Amino acid sequence: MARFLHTADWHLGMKYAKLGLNAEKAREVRIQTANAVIEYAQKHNVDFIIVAGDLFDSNDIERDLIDTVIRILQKAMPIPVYILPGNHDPLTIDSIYADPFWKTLSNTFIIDQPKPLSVPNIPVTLYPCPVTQKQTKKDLTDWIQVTGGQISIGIAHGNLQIPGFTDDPNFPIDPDRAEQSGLDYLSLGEWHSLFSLKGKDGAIRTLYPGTPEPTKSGENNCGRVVIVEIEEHGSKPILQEVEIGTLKWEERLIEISSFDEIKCVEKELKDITDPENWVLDLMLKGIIDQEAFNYLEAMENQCVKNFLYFKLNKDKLHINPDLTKLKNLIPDGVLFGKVIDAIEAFKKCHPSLQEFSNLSAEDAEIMLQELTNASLPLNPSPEALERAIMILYQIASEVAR
Amino acid sequence: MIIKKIYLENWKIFRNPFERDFAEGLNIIYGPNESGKTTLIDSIRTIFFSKHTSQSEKIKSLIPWGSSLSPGATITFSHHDELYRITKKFVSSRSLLEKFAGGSWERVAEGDRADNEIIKLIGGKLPSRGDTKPELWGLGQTLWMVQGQPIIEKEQSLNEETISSIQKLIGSVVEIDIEKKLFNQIMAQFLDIYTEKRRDFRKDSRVFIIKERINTLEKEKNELDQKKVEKENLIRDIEDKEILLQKKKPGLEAALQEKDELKSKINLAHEHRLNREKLNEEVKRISSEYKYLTNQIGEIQNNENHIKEIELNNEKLIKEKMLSEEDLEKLLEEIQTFNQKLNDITEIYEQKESEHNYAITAHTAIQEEIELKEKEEQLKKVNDLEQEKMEHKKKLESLKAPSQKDLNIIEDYYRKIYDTQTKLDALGLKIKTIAQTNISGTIHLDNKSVEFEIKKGKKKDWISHEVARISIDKVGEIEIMSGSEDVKEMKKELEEFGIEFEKLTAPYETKVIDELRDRFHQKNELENHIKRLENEIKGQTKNGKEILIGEIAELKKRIESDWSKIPENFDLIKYAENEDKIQVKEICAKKINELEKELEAYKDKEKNLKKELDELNNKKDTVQSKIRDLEKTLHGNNERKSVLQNSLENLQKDGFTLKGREEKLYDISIELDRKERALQKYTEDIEEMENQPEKAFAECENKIKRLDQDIHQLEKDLAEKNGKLNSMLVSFKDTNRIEEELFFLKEEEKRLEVEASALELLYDLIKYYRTKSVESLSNPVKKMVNEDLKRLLGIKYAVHLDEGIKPISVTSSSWGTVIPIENLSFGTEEQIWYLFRLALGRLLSHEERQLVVLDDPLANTDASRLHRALQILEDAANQLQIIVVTCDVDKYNWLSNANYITMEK
Repeated sequence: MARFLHTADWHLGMKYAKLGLNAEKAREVRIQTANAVIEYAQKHNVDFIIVAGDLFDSNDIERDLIDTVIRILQKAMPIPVYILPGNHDPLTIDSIYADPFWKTLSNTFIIDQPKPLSVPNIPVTLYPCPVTQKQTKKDLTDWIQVTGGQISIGIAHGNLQIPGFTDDPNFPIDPDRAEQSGLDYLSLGEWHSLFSLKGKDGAIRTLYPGTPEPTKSGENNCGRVVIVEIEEHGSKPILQEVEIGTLKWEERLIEISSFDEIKCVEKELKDITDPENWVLDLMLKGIIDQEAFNYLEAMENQCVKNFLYFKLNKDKLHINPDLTKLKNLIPDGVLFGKVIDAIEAFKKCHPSLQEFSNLSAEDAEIMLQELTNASLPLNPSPEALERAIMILYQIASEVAR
Repeated sequence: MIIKKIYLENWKIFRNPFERDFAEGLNIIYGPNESGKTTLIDSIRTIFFSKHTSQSEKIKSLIPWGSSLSPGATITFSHHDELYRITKKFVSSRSLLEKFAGGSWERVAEGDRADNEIIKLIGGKLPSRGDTKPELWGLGQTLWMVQGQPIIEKEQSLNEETISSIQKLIGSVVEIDIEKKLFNQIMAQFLDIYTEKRRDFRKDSRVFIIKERINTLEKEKNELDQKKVEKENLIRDIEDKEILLQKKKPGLEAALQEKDELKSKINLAHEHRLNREKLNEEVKRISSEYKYLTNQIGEIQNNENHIKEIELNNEKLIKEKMLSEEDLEKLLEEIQTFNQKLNDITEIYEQKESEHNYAITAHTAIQEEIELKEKEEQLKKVNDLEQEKMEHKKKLESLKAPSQKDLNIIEDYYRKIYDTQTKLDALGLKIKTIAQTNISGTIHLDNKSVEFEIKKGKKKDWISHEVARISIDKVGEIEIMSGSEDVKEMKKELEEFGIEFEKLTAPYETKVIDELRDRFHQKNELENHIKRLENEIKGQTKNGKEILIGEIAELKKRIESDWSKIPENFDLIKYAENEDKIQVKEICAKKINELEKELEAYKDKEKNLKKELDELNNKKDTVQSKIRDLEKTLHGNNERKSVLQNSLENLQKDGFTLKGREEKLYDISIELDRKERALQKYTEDIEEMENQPEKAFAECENKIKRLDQDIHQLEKDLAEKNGKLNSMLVSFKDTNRIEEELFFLKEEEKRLEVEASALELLYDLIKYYRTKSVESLSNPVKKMVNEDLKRLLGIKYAVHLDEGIKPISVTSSSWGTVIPIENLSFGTEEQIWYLFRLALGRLLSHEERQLVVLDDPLANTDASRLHRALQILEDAANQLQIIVVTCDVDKYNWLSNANYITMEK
């Protein structure tokens, strides 16, 4: 009987460009999750651990990460850990696994040969396919031929070539490999969402556990590791998915048109109890006035502080200013009014903003003509125009107090 | 506001209280330079706008020089029909504002409050620091001209007060305070980001800083990416090298094997070479023997031939030599004959020559004799002259004559005596006697007694000086005495003179003056004569008589010697003593000529002979040298012959006959031929037997060497590169954080740029609308200024105002161009500002009269323009209070209704 933990795609040290200054935090989380995986393995007494590739995000990461990882892996002792180099951390000359530090771990095996490997003390033979190049169109699993009666477990990193589903021809893996080669289970890595393939006998023998922490939005089925139990060679593997990740990556799109609706959005966001683990792209769509916009900006600032990452995408959000209210901030302000009208006139020049301008086309024409005659080289972008209105609103509100 | 009165105390030059009243309209303050006109006017500003506690330099300069008095002033003015007066004292500071109400002055405020209240009344601002300046004078900034500064500089804008006064006046759009605040905030935000002129992001703006950081980070990232690329290249390089190494190693093995195989072949090649070389040597040796022998035979034959040649030649030469020797003998004989002839000629010549010499000597002697005669005559003459001279000298000595000087003195005394005598006589009594009968007697005159006798009817005169006594016979005596002292003196004088005269004339033994004169003349004559004689003598002798005598002696000697040189038998000697020297001389001369002619003839002959002789000599020389040459050649030939004979002996030393040699030669050639053929065979095989194997072996060795080197190098490189790679990997920094920061910053940058763009838009719009509103203010001002300008200059110029409502340029109606105001003449510019002030003043005086101050305006304006300008001034004074300061009041004299204020007491 063999019971092991199958994980992959830890991508430690990965870049999180989008997260800007919070990226380091996210990287930290990945390391903590790696720790959690090992702890889980320890707690649940697995026989061994398989990391099926891409433990590191690249061979170019800073080497002091090795130190951290080794410490984490040490905690797995005495459980052996089998690490397969993947396409992000291949066994090239500059491979991170070439560092002599790895030799200090007695329970960690960096697999470097596509040769059968026995696991000590249990009747398991591993059939690993280490990645030694950054790219290949060769199926690295095609040497596998099971001989003997041991529980045979393949380890590979690549893309199952499922017609109509897969579009990446690099590191191809035959979807029927498990059956063809006689493996009991093929532990894969590379795909970040959990994915399993049922064989002809109805058993799942080919599986991607997915990345334990999301690396970008769209990875819907990640954040897990898988515990696999196989009774003996030929038995059906029993799989158990374990939730282990902490980060959430989401994109949301909400339509709003009134202040109340904004308040609803606010509540939704407040309902998230652990915003520090959330990466949220919120796109708002609609037309609102300056007050609402101002309120949104304040809300945005708050969220940015609370969330691990919060982006309010306003591309589809437009200001249709309530001119009366705006001008009433400075009721006797003739020039103030003129400036506002000028901005509204400019809006008419942009197809994206035309409909939100409160000036008639003729009035706009007159104003623009006057400004052109005065040879003012004004050519404001739509964003600048909307921002200008907001600046006027904000400063006028302040001054009027 | 209208100024009523200004009172100054301890204020600059006004040490005593000084007060002046002002009229509502035009005031002309006049006075000489340094009378305090400008001080008076400047006090208005100081009093209104300086803090009474101010201790600035300007305030300190109000203190009268050399004192520590506190300057103080009071200005009485009306504002909106209320009468006020403000008193301020500086140094020991005070400030008091009073209002006239209910018939008396009431205190309104004191101290700082007074300072502030007055500002509230008339406008303007107090300075926060330092001196007051034009911008703080409210309307006064424009309306009150500072002395010497008719122009308001471009950099100085009209202050807000002025602008808003105009705004209010025109009822134009006024920015309300809130708006102002709003706009100013926006503009401040704009200026926080942008530099105003060039619209660059300010270096301290967030967007600039972010841009810089982005640049830095991108540079860093590039560097790191570069490193990554380097690393990749390095890895690729290492991989390539390993592949190469793997390829080369088997190559080396193969080459080593090949080398072994080739070894045996090499040995064979060596043998072949050795044999070939040995054979080559032998061929060489035999070949040289052959050559030697051939040479030998040849040489022997050569020598024999040469010897024969030489012998033939010698025969010829000997024959030639004999012929030449015969010729030589003949020539020598001829030469001898000629030499003899030449000697004869020479003898005759010499003889004739000595005759010639004698002739010349004789001629010379005759000449000398002639000279001698002359000289002897000369000498005689000289002697005669000397004799004469001696006689004259004797005469002169015996002559006792006075010198000129002495004569003069004598004459002097003579005259003196005469004069004195005359005077005395004059003084003296003149006794005139006319005898009526015959009288006789004695007359005693002074000390003389003279007997006299006078016949009847005859006269007689006597002079007496002192005493006269006449004793007339039979009559009696008459005595006349003179007592004159003068007479006595004169007599004394006369006596003295007489004594002196005696003395002087004593040496000459005569007293007669005429004789003295005579003698003097004689002396002179004699002296002159003597001089003449001396000159003549000199003329005769030139160097003196002695010389002459010497010359004569000399000549005599020479003549003697000359004649002695001539031999007795010479025919001319007979003339030696002949008297007619001239004739003799001629004969001599003739003889000389004859002889000279003969000499020439002989000379010619000699020359010809010599020529012919030379020719002969030349011929002789030629022949002689020919003979010598022949001898030399013969000698040479003989030498050569003997050398050749010697060498021949040497060659034939070995005793061989010619035949013997030839046989030997034949044998040698056979052997040579054989050996050469053998060598040929070897040579043909070189390529195959020697070169190729050697080449192959060498190549193989090279190959091994190269491969060895390559492998060695590759291994070295690999070690090095691996080492480099390792150190790179250890120090590798990934770009994650940089890229993350960049991503974040770029988003921020975008946001800030939009913000900046929005602010720029707002800034430009605000500026534009503000300017427009200001522009509408300037029209009425412009209109008024242009009307007055027309009055002043005709339609020449129309003025334009800038957005600060200041004159900036004019349009010239004649040229139709716009001219900046600073390009106009200073006078015209001055006038425009003058009109501007008056126009603005008038416009702003609609509610209350404003004050316009003009300190020496129009200093650069000519008379005709000035007149018109002052007319405008007069008209303006109907609406304004104007104070004009001038030092030339005559310019303004014709103005009616003006209040003339003199600075004098």
